[in-house]
Amino acid sequence: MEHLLDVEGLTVEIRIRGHAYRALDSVGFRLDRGEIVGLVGESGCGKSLTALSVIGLLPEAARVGAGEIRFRGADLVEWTEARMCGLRGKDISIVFQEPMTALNPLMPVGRQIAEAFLQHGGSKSEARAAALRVMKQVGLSRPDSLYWEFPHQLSGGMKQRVVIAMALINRPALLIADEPTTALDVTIQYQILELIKQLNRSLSTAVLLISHDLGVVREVCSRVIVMYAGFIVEEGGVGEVLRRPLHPYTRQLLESIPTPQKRGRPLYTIPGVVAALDQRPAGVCPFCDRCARARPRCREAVPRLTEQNGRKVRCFFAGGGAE
Amino acid sequence: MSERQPLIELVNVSKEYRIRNRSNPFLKRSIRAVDGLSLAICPGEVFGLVGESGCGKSTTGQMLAGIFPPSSGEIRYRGKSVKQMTAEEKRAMRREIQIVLQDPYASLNPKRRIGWIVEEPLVIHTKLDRRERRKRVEEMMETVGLDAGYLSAFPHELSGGQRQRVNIAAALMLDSKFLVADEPVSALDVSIQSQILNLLKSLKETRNLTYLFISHDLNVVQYMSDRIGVMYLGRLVECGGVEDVYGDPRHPYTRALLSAVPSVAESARKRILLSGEVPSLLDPPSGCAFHTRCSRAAPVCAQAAPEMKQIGDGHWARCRFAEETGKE
Repeated sequence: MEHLLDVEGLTVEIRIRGHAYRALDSVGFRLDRGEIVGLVGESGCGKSLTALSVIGLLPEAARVGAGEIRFRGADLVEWTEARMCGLRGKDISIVFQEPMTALNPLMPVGRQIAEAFLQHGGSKSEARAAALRVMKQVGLSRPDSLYWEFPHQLSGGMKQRVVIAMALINRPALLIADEPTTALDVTIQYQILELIKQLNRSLSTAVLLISHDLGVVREVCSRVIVMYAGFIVEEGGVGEVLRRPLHPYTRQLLESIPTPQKRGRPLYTIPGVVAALDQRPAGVCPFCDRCARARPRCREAVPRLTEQNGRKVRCFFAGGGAE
Repeated sequence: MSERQPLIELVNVSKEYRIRNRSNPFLKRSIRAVDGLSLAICPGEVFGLVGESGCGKSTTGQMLAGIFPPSSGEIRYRGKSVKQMTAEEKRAMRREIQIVLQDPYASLNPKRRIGWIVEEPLVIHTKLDRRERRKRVEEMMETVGLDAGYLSAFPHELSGGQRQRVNIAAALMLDSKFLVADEPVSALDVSIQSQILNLLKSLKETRNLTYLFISHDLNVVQYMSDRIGVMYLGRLVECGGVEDVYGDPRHPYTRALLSAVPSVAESARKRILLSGEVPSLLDPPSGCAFHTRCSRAAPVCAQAAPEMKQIGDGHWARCRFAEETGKE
């Protein structure tokens, strides 16, 4: 079966002072219709860069060095900017973290939502009708009057609903949500996550949810991809990965999250920090400097992402097989 | 808990901010960021303060840290009202109370070296000579787990976690007793967050500190605190020991808040989806501030604000139905 999104061997380089550094290294994953997949990791691990490569919005300094991004079978890496414009906001949409900066402060929110429709060839009256319809869908009450209000008149949660409405007006097959709830309060976060789940069901939009919060991913996703320093280190069903993590990074990350059971004990800490892009050693396991189980072999080669029982992990010693 | 003398106390404290109307400068309005708040923090305790943005938790922290005085009400430190303190007593109090802020990128002077930032409190508050100050700074750097080599570095050369260590070092330079930690780990990654939480915990033990720990992350607050207070629209709605409040929340807001927290652990808990958003402080609801979003609200809730009710030992909630809520 053809996958909706099939990323293979994606390598992205960023130029810093004339030097090209690999910010993403052979990233590969698949997304099917109607699926919600989580992409987690700490800052600098490449989650946002992965999203930006898919939608073709990489920053100037970055470029795709190798790999394919196949969307409905077509390789987007080969596409021209003009062709990407026809796809962006129509077949693939993105929602960013900060709803306050994603909106134009001088334009009524309804017009901003309708703009995405106009861009892809609709009449003004159709666009307005579509905007009002999608505003209702994302749970914005009184869309008729809200249509003419400006972003500063709205609360954070409402602004994020407006941004989601913009992303969904053309019924995209894929929605990329880059930390959609990080700037919001917990009770509002819960509302937005419920909304994403419900829209996924009713419109069967596939969602790639990027988050640093494993709790959020557990709430909404069926599968999770864990990234570290530009590599995918683990992939699998959310429940399984959180219950029985295979990669030491996932395990150590879970250990260091405070839970009620850990009260009164010191938290586990991962030593060190994520290495900066220009200080990452090449040809070794990306996590070997911070890993509790690192062996000499980990410093000789990059482990491959191997699959076992429907789960993928990039570690020489995962699952005890080679131990 | 009541027999011990509190280290610091807020008695019926309110804070109002004036808001100017730009089109009509004569039309002045004010909002109550904190409304009639009373709480007492005992020596050696970690008091966690939670709530959503705009609920007044940071304002409370800043009043406790002495950054600005309350509009009304009283702050007592070691049993003595701050208003009645002499200038000398106030100086002594300021040495003992320090604050660590959320954003380690914004809270350090970018033009000063780390050594200077950590040393400054000693320059202001003590008469130590340069060598003595240097020695103390180096000891403190070791205490917070920073290499002395960073003393000559500038803030931009440090990572977020290291900067937060610098903030903690500067806050503890004067042998502080009470630390207001206002979202100290919110800007940090999970793996760095646990390092800072462990540091704060061990410093509390070794230096006998008392914390007001403010955070919107309920998992972190639960891990760190002995007692917690939940705030909603400027008021304390529930207060008590961590086990009581997390295990048996009595205010409907606390229940909804706790149920909305995403968790990595599996649980079969009942989720409560709150409709709507936090009302504006400019136009707060009548009666109980939560009645507009509360599933249990009765007509009486819109008319009169409920008082704090005691439910158990040191466990209080501001809800008319607090007693019944527990039996469900």
